[in-house]
Amino acid sequence: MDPEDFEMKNGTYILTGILGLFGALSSCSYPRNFTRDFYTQNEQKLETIKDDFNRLYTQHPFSILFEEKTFTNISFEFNEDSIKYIYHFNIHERAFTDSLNAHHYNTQLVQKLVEDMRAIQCTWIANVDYYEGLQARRLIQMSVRNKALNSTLKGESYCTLVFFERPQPFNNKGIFLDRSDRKRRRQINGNVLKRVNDKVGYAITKQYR
Amino acid sequence: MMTVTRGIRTTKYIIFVAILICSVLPARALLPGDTARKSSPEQALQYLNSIKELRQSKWWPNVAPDLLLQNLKTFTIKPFAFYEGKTTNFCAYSALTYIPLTYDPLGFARFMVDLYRNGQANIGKIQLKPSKPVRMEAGLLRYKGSLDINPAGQMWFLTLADHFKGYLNFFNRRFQKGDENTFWASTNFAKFNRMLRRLFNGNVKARGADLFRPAINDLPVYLEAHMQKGLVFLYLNNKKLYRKSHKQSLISTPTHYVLLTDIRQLPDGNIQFEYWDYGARAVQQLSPEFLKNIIYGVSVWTPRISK
Repeated sequence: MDPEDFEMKNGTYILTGILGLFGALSSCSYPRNFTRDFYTQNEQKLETIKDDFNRLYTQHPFSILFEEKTFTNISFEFNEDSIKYIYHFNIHERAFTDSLNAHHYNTQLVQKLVEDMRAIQCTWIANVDYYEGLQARRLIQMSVRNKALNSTLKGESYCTLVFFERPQPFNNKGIFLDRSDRKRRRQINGNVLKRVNDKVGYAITKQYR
Repeated sequence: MMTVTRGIRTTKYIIFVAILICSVLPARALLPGDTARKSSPEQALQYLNSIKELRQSKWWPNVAPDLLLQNLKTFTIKPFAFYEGKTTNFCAYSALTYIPLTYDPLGFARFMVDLYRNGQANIGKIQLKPSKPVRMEAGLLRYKGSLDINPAGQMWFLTLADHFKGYLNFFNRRFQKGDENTFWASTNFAKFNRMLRRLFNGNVKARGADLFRPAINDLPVYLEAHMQKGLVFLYLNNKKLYRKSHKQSLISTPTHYVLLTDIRQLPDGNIQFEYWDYGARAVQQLSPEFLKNIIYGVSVWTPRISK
């Protein structure tokens, strides 16, 4: 083989290798502005789910988890005074509505919330306690599935959205800080929270709760 | 004649009541909850209220004395509210804390106050003397839910994790910031049983292992029977009990400890499974196969009754 041909062929291999590696790496990461875009496009739906959940939770505490990708089976956590009942239902079966009635939940509104969550592929919604100094506060945590967060190599990730009751401080990188200690970066389940807006933060996580 | 008949009736009545009392007493004496209790919550509260001034400890600079006493009082009144914190590996330490809070709340309160005052204290068969990094960290753990405002709980968990080591802690033996969420705090089954034996005055019967499920034919019946004898702790697969992702894991391992509080068979064949973890009691209805699939270890702790 002519040495020039050999060099050219070698160069092509290296270039293909680099491009392949770059392609594989880019398929592992999610779009940089995913959450901001996703939130902007679905703001009204997300806010409705959050408000409805908040209203229903205040009447009678609970949390909802969609256990499978088909979004037909849920794990519903009925939070009573000293005990929590974690029951598994098919949302189309009567056992679900019967249990909601038996535990004195607003069945129609809970069912609407479940449908809204299903429509936007929200896998998990719950109220979470957190503390500012010794002061107890609450936030709403929602986790959303989206195709853009799937990767062949890394597997599935979830967009965890966190809704605070009041505006949170953040640094110049857009990371939420602890209100009671501004040197600390606020975390949710061990993940640093980035800012969507003053009251909403997000983290891309491997687990939905 | 009337007086004699009345006398016989009275004697019969006394004998009947005596038999009834005798038949009830031995059964009550067998219950671990009553006779094995070394102290009561009232005694613990009385002791904690008697501490008029607790000075800031030089050993635990980030634990405020007032908050410590307040935490200890809350443990005494609400033992089921004891919480291991979010994302930590403290579940084993939290599960076994039910024992001192129930059987000897006064002893536990005294131990915690000693540990705070002296930086070391004796419990069961051992002396706990936590290392400096652990003492510096207690009171500073954050974003763990109510554990944030529970420095006494942080002290207890960090002290236990610092003292007891198993093979899971082999590569991470010295505490560094954030290690409450790592293998530093993990507990394998043998370590859990060792902690039960050394910390508390009781007998431990354990079945199962870290990688293999116990060979028990009718697990629900076995668990129900052993709940009558003592406290039943379960070592189970948390990823299956509380699903956290849609991914199907190829490897199934246990990672979580809970205290079993009730178990019974339902008419539809499922099992009503009630347990205590994460600061609350929880109930799930599970199939017997699923339950067998998630449980890797069963430890039964029976208090030793002093004669």
